[in-house]
Amino acid sequence: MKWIILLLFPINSFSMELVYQFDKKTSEKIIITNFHGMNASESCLKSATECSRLIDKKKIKIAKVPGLKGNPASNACEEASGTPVILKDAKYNDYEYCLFGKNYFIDSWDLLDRSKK
Amino acid sequence: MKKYLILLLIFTSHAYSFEYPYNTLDKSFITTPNTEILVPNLTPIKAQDGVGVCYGFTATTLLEHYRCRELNLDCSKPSEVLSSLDVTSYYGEKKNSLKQGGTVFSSLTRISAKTTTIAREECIPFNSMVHQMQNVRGTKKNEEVGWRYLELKWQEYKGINKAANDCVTCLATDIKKNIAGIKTPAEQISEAFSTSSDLEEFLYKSILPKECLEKDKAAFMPPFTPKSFPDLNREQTAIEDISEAILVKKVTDLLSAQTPVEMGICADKKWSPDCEDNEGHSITLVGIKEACGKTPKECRKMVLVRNSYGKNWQDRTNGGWIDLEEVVKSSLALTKFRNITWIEKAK
Repeated sequence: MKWIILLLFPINSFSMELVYQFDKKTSEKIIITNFHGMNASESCLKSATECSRLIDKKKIKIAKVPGLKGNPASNACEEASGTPVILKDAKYNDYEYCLFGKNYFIDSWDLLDRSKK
Repeated sequence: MKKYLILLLIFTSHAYSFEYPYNTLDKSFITTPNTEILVPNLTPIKAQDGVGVCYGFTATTLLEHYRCRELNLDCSKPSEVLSSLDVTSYYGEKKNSLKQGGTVFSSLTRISAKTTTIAREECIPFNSMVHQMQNVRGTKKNEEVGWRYLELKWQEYKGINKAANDCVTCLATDIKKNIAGIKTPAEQISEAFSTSSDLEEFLYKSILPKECLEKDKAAFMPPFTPKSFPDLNREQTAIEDISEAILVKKVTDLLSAQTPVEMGICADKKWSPDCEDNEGHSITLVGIKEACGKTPKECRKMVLVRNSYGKNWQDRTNGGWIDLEEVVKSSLALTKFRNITWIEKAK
């Protein structure tokens, strides 16, 4: 039985470091981890904000904002009242994340996924 | 107990089969040895945010790959990344405008005819033109940052009485103050207001600093010829005549020669016939392989899709490996722009 429980709820050791380039001179490192199947910043998980509330939800309801173009995950972020931002990894690849408040990030694709469940 | 475990394993092994409109490789399929061909030497993966310029991003990927190959450069270096905004600016009938929605073939045709240099991304970072540019993080509405803030200011400019109160410089100062990373000088932004006839032209003139476009700062682009199938220059093949099999063969031939291919697809997950225009999306194909299930009948051709949706999209779609047949079907579902585009050496 323990095996089944472990398979259903694997201990997720996923963690990666992304960079938020605030402007030309300022940047900061964001530690991303996986919680309840969503990638989010550690600050989000520890906070008692909209960010952590969204992670705990099995299904996220978001209102459709008319006239949006571009990346559907980025649009989902706006519809969830977040601000889409682009983070970078060490190899300069871009990542679409959703910013809540001043310091809380969720993977925009995870957000879109959760809204479609 | 065993039954539960088997059921659980069956369930988890098929968890990756469908994501959005892209049919990814089912985990039960295994790559056939020696069939994988990848386009080498590509730039890092980009993200287009909420701006409708996918065509500019795919055109840039084709140009970057061609340039690095011809000039023997290492495309993984950030210094070799070209400005997607500069590439996008070539789409419109009149040069010097930034338009949401466009085609790769038209953009490349104009670039090949009009310029030998493209600005570098380092000089005009796309990130700084979307939501990134908030001076106080999270305290502004999305309508008040980056690209959209410029749109707001353009509307404001159109409403002011220029004869009675010349406040153009005030608007330019607002932009410089509000958009933290903008490199365009205030004088150029003021000039952009007074010399632009529409929003697209204003965006171009205010976003792209003139110094980034100067030949000594921009990247040299070796001569090239944009190609399309069906040939949009000759229109030998009517779009209606293209079958799924012909398109699959053409894509296979190009990728087998390690040539990246741009393809217009229907981004609507229904992929129904007659996909609406506003559901069109542009992707780049950068690899091909065969993968087989338990019997030879289940063998599929897979293509490696490079999307402008960020690395997190690639990671969640099995690295971007998608069923070629499904991609081709989605391309043929478009009501227009049903073509593929690639770059060849100029003769």
